[in-house]
Amino acid sequence: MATQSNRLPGGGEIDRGKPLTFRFDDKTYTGFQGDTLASALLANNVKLVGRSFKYHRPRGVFSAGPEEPNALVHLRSGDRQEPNTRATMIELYDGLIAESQNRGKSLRNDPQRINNLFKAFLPAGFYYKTFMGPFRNTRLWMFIEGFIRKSAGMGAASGLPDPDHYDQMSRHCEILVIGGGPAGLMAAKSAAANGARVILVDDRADPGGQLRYEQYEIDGKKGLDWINETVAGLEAMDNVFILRRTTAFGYYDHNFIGCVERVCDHLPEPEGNKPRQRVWNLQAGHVVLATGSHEQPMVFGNNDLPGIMLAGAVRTYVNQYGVVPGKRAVVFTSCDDAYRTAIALHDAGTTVVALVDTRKLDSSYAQQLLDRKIRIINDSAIVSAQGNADGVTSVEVHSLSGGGAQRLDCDLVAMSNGWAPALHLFSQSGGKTAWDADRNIFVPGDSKQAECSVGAANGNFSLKTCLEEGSAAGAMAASSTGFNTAVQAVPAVSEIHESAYEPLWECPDPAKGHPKKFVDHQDDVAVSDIQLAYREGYISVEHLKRYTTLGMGTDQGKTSNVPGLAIMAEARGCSIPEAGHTTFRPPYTPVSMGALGGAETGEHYMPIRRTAIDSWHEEQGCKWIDAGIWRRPRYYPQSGETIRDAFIRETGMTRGSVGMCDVTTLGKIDLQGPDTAEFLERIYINHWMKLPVGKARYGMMLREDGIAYDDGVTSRMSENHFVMTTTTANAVKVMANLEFYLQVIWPELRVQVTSVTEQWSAIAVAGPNSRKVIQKIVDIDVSNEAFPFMGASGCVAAGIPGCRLFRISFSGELAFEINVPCDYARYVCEKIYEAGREFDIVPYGTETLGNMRIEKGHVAGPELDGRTTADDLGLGMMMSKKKEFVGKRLAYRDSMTGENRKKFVGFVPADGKTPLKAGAQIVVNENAAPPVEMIGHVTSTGYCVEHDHPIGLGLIRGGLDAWKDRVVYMSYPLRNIIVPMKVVSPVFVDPEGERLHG
Amino acid sequence: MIRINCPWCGERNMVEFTYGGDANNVYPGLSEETSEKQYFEYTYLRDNPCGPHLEYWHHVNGCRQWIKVKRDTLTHEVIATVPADKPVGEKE
Amino acid sequence: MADPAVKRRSALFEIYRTGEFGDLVKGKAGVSICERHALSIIQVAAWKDQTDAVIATIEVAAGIKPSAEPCSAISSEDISAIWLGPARWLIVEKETRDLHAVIGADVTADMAAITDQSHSRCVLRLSGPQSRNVLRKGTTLDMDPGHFAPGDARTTSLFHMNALIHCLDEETFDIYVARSFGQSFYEVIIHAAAEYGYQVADRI
Repeated sequence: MATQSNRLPGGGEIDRGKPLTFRFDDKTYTGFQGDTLASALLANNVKLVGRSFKYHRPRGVFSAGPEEPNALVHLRSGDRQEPNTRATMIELYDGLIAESQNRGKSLRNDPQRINNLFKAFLPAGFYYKTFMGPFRNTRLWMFIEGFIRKSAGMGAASGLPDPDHYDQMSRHCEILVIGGGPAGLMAAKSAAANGARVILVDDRADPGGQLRYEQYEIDGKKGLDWINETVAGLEAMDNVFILRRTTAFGYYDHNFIGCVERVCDHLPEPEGNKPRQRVWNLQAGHVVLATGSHEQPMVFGNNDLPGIMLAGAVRTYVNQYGVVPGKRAVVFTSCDDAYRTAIALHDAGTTVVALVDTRKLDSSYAQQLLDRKIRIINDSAIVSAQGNADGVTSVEVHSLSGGGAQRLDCDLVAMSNGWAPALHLFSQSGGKTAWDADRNIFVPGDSKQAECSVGAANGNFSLKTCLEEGSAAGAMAASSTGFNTAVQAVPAVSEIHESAYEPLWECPDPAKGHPKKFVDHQDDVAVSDIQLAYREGYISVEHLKRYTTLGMGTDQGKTSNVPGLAIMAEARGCSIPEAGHTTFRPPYTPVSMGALGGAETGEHYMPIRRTAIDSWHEEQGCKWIDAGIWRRPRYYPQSGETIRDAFIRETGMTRGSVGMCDVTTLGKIDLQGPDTAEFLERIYINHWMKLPVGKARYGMMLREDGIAYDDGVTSRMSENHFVMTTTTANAVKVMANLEFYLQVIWPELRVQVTSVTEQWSAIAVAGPNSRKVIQKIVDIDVSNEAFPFMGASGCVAAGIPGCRLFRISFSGELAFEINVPCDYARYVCEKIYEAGREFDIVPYGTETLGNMRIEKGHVAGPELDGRTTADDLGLGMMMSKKKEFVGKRLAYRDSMTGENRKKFVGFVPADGKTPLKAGAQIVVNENAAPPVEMIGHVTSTGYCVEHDHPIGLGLIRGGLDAWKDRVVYMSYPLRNIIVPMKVVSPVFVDPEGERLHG
Repeated sequence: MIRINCPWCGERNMVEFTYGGDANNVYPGLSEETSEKQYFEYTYLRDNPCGPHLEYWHHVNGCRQWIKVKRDTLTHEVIATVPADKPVGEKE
Repeated sequence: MADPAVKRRSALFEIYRTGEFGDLVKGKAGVSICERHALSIIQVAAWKDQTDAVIATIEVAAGIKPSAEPCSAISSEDISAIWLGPARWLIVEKETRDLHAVIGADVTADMAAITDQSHSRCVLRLSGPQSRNVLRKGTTLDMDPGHFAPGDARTTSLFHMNALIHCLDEETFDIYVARSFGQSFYEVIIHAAAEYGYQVADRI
């Protein structure tokens, strides 16, 4: 086991009393509680952690935070393997397993590093150029593409189902503070003290932000102590809720913020029933963005070698984790910030070879470096680095004023080109960024939503300003959401005034393009690619991004967008704000699909509606089918039966004796009030005023545009009380529609509508013996004389009062429908089944239900397809000439009437045997060459049991008048099927309707 | 996620509502005097403004009331809400 | 009322299992779940101009006075009147009498429409310190105490199901969903409650 050769004997926030063992690739290492995977790897002097996307160049840890472009690993193994995970954000736990990505068998001897030699042939736009080039669509290209895809890439998914679960939760607050650094904590403290509900979101295990790695004093105490006190104070308040390990990834409309909490990612496996991750949907009155800033890198030759890191990150590893990532360091900077890195490194015992400053000025920290005998090289820049897969070995430094080249041996380069405020969430909120020419940064412009940015996120990097802005923003936010407005006093801090930052976007290029200067490390985009994009005309930043893939990696260019656009601006000879930047879009950092899906997977994917007789169907051995979100029995197979066998048997038994079917899913709407009949007159095409009490009637509704909308039976229970049924599919829509007419269009009508679908279970009993069965169940006389076709009555069923009986039929047989309050439905169902046993009653499912309605020529969903009129469906006679109703006027438009409309007919295959296919087109000529005119289509198909042949329903131009008994062809070109079929009446059984009335 | 202030239930998330279309349209009325053109215009013709727009929403997972919402189609700002049978003032 | 030998069979009849489950903390459940079943649930929808008369009449007939205040519920030990929409309430009690007839006797058709919904809902009572967190997993409502307080009753979308949530006290909620969703609802609630540890108590 390797020792932690880079670990300091003391200092940092790690717990040296808790060693942790972990594996990276084939080696086992130790780290400490409090480490990240990155800090533990660096402690063990592991510099090479991955290979780059395109050229397979060696890469090491680059940053210490969410912006990491290089150190992406496979975390865990087996079904918990997670690709592209940032080592800088992984909290170390005992037994952690990680593997490097995008490599061959070995990270060190990756065979594809050869790509690096061919980089001249892999320029920006390589892929586009290739597949648009002469080889496009050739087998050669297809062959080569396989290799390209394999070699260019990221981590791989496990391909196994994720054993863990995820969750979502929502929460409201007056003030949401995003970022728990000094500015955010101060804002939370100030807002909470004024009584507002505050949620504080921080992406680390503990809040603190920069104070966890900087060495400031606050109120005469160590910064960390102030943090711990402040957090403890907030936690003690009822109105404060702190979300740790939580990243705010998206800022949406109306101050709705999406966050993801890594609940159990710091553990080998989630504990108990805890989710691995949880998405928080936060609704805030006011948002305080204290999201901090990202340090920007220097762009010089070979700047991607392992051991070249952001200066702030190096300081973090030293101060927070007690790790020195190298023995001989060169610090390279254009701002004062990195001077603190030089000091930290020196004080930790590392040799700081030199600090290279691009500026001419004397830094505020210069004296502190001189005291430590650290050499400062002003007005100079690193132009290239030298090294190998083990990391940087030296750098070449040139004076920016010409001459003075020197080579410095080192194994660590800490670089800083200033800090860019993290504007992601601000930009997502709709706000436009502004360029601050004095400070050379983009800052938040005007707000579009109730939010404000504070501290580094607002471009104000000094600790004092962070605290002041935080305190003021918290108070302002509290007052704007209706609370007090007291401002918290800001504690005194130890901090020196820093001198100005003078960015150097691109280092000089004495060797003209060699070696490559990387801008976007994750996507292997170099300065030369940006210049190529410029030469080829992709000068807008949006085009630049798509052409070169700049900023399109999982890091979304947090350390590359600003230098990239600055280099483009330079090429174009325009200013940085003129070049602009690309739009920031959610998510801020990658969010796993599992977290976004939340708990809604597997059995919880979506709720299922079950009827009250669900368990009985199951016991009868039914096969289920989804009908919208209902589940319904499709058929009840007996041993060895296919679905076809089953529905033919069920149809035959029902028509031969009696069958029963659960029809609960139909929509049922209760209508009461003196104007109900008038209301029905308006929404149905037929008449309702004179429907007697105790009678049911079939009705059809149109849409406003005259197209058939929905149909069903409506019954008059008393003078002013009706019960409407709708199709299963339209139940919810029809209900909303009726409410619209009553609340918006005709509020003067005294009608109350209530959905009673859930109150009543409905069981259809159909077949010649249905009356005998029903008579055994209900307390009313159901003889034809006493209870004729379309009768509707209250009844006692199987001893259960308050039931309803209807004599209605979808099958075309003598049939009844019994409605029972749901809690008694299963009981009554069993009683019906018992009563029917002597008649060999069969339960039948949707397959038979559909087959019987097709045999009878009743229209249903496939015919009510949003294109047909009542007249097309053979129901034109129902349309009243004597009244106005919804859709009437437009139903009589020229285009909706006339001989050329496709009308409802039946089909029989000419040979009496070949099954028909729903969806098939109808053509006149068997052998016509394309394009063939299609004169209609088959909508529904079934099997006529009585006549023992397949049947179909459909729509054909001109209808029966034009085609009765003629042969047309059913064309199903995808399967090369063409079947001659005869056009017949759509009613295949009992065309006179004698059975219904019998 | 848009928040809509239901005149009865207060501010609720848009997941509780369904969209019901343009509320500037006046129903032509079921009458023989109404022309086919009026029905046609009611049914098919819509403005597509960039900015404030009056529209119907149904608080279907709530009080089941239809309401009128004045919403800015550009910013999603909800400017005003009233019961569907009430007029929306310019400022509310 | 039906033959008393025939028991009402709720949507959860087959799947309801009492006991303690999930991540109990020191043996204690964070949430207690129990089904309220065999209820009388009567919807009264008043004509707008009759609202006051209907409120007064229900009080006399059923012993509870509904409030016209949106999103509110008035409860006594035995009976609740829950606001559903303008001039519309659910009157809920354990089935001991024919509540539909009791209300219908006084609230006439020219005052309101009365609809029996007694079998149309699956009703779960959630209580315990984690009950609000369970609900936070499925609704966008503000579930903080003080923002959803005893006596509040809101209809919302809960785990994608239309649900009426009635807050009885700081930690106790009655949740009404459509009966057909009952099983899915129960399953999603116990799944959400598992991390807090939950108890399924005898139905009431």
